Amino acid sequence: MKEAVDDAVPTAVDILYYPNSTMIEFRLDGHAGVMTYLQIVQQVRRALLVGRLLPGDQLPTVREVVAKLAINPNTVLKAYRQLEHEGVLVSRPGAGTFIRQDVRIAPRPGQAALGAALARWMHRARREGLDDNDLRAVFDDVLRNEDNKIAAAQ
Amino acid sequence: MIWVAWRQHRFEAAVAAVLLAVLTGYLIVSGLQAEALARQLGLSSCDLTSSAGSTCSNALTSYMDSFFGISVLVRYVLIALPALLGVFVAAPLLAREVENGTNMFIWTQSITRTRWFWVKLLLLGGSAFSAAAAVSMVAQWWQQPFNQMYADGNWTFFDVVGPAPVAYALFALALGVAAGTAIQRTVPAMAATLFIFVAARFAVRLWRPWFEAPMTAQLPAPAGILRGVLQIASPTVGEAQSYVVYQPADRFWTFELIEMTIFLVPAVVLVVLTSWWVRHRVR
Amino acid sequence: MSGVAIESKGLTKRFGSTVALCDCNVRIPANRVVALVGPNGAGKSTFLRISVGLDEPSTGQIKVLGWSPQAQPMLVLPRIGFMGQDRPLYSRFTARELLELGRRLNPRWDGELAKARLDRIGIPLDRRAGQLSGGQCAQLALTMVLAKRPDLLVLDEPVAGLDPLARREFLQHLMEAVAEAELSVVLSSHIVSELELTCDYLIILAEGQIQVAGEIEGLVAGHRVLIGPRQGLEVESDQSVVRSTHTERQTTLLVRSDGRPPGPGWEEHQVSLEDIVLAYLAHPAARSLPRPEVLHKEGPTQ
Repeated sequence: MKEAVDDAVPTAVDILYYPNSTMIEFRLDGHAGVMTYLQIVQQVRRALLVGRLLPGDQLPTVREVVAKLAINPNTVLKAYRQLEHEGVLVSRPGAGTFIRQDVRIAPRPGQAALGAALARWMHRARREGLDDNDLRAVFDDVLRNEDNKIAAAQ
Repeated sequence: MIWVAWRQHRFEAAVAAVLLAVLTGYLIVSGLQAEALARQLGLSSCDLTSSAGSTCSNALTSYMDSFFGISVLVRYVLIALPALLGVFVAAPLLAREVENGTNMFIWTQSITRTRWFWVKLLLLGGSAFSAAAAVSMVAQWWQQPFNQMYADGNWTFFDVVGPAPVAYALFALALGVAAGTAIQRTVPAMAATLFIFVAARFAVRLWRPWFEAPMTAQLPAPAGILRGVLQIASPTVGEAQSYVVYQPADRFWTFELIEMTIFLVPAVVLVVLTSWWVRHRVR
Repeated sequence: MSGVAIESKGLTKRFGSTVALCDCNVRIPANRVVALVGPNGAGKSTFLRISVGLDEPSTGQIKVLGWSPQAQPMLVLPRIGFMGQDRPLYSRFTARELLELGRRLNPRWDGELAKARLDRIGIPLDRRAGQLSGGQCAQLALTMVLAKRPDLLVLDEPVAGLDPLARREFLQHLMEAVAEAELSVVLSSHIVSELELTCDYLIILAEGQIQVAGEIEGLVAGHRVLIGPRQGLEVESDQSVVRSTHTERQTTLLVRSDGRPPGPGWEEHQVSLEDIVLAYLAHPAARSLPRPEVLHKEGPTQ
């Protein structure tokens, strides 16, 4: 057992594995039904949106993420590759993985309007007597049907 | 691997070294004491096989009072040593590794099973050989003042002098390791080793007087002829002609070599068999 | 490093009259974390032991990193690290002495790595292995295999019997080691939920036979749960149906799917790895194996 150390002073171990104290820390939700690598992608996007991650910030290395979450390194690699493909991050060999300086963090156009439309729908559904679970069931059902239609059309 | 084997067995080696040191020390001390007393009583001038004068009988009785018990005790301890080696050192050698599962650890290091086996066996065999040879030589010196107390003379100490005890030790070692490898559980392997070793020793002991055709002598025998012989049939009393069947003293060392061979050959066979077993059959 | 970690053809193992493994054909790709799953007595330990030379096949052959562990042990042993069930070590040796053992018996031994790991975990070098807690002992055993700098780790139920924290720490360290070096790992376990996060290749072994072998991503994408109106029993003879359950009104199927949507009236859901494993284990006749030409193709698999 390591002895308790003054929190303000980074120990050698901390510096080795968490070099940037403002770095994002990933967490997994095992029951979300969303694939692990997508959760990482979404958490990076969300962090950018709310300003927890800024352009130029360094992301944890694959090794650091894996050492914390006990997941397969390929999962993290896949997430980082997708983010690189989307123009969110850039990987500099020998230096690390960084958020691009020119990353687009603005919310998608029309997102505010879509949110408002959804709120109105929710109001209506609640007036009809649906609770939270019912709302989700309706949403899942419609989403699935739409996905199936798209797949059938391909 | 030599370092690993040593580190693994250093406790047993230390215990054995202490025991042997104590034993050897006692042999030396008791041998010196017996020698001194024998000289004091003038026993060398007595011929115990012929009916002697009362001074010799008194001297012998007095000598035996002091040292007969010791000679028996020490002899039995020396006889037991090879069995202890086989049961407590050799049998657990492989069986304990398999029982604890540590064979899965050591046999997946970058070493072949064959090399692991031979290093351990040769280390153990070499130590056993050296220790047994040393004790045998000390025993050979030690028994000289004692064998006058016995009708069979130094034949009584056949098991503990010369090449025989070394052969017993190597046989016990080979038997123990083979049992441990075949049975792969420590306690049953120890029991099997003990049982088979004791049975083998007993059987060969019964066979020993007949290694070569014995000689016969009419009684009463000429003076000196029956000194230091191995008597096979006791002289019959009350018959018209009594005789004794025996092996003469000068056959002692020939018989030692025969006994050695009888135990060494199976030892070699067992070792070869075990090395094949280890390679192919042990889980 | 690309290629094949473990390859077996017709591998069969008999103990007396019991058949532990029956005609196992498998081609485990390298650079994966492979989960070997199956009920007790399925033959997982036997398979792993044969792959590191602790046992011999009765018939058939096995090659590890290209060589036979029985015929060419010195070409295999230095490149693999094995942790047996219950993680045995010499309990009277101190950690320092175990490292010395590793140094003397392994050509690629990295003593610095071993000491650094023990230091980081907090295991004093002069503590005897038998005095360590279960979790520390597991970490020490992991250190012993990682310091060999192997290309392949073979772990037989490495976290069985550990408390949840110790289990997690072990897996964290293992995944970190995989990220650091190009390490292949084959590990057997009962706890499927853990495996979904750490592993990317799955083998299901049941009653001595390989039931499922494939990339986890492909397996999850290639199976679906279909819920629909009650079907007749003829649906169970459909090749693609792994498991079917029925109520009066409804039939639930777990199927191998090729991506096409089901017919009208059928609801389609994604399946978790755990559900897939449980379904196959419940139906020993079902199979999901790579096509034969994939098995015997020479050369790199990707």
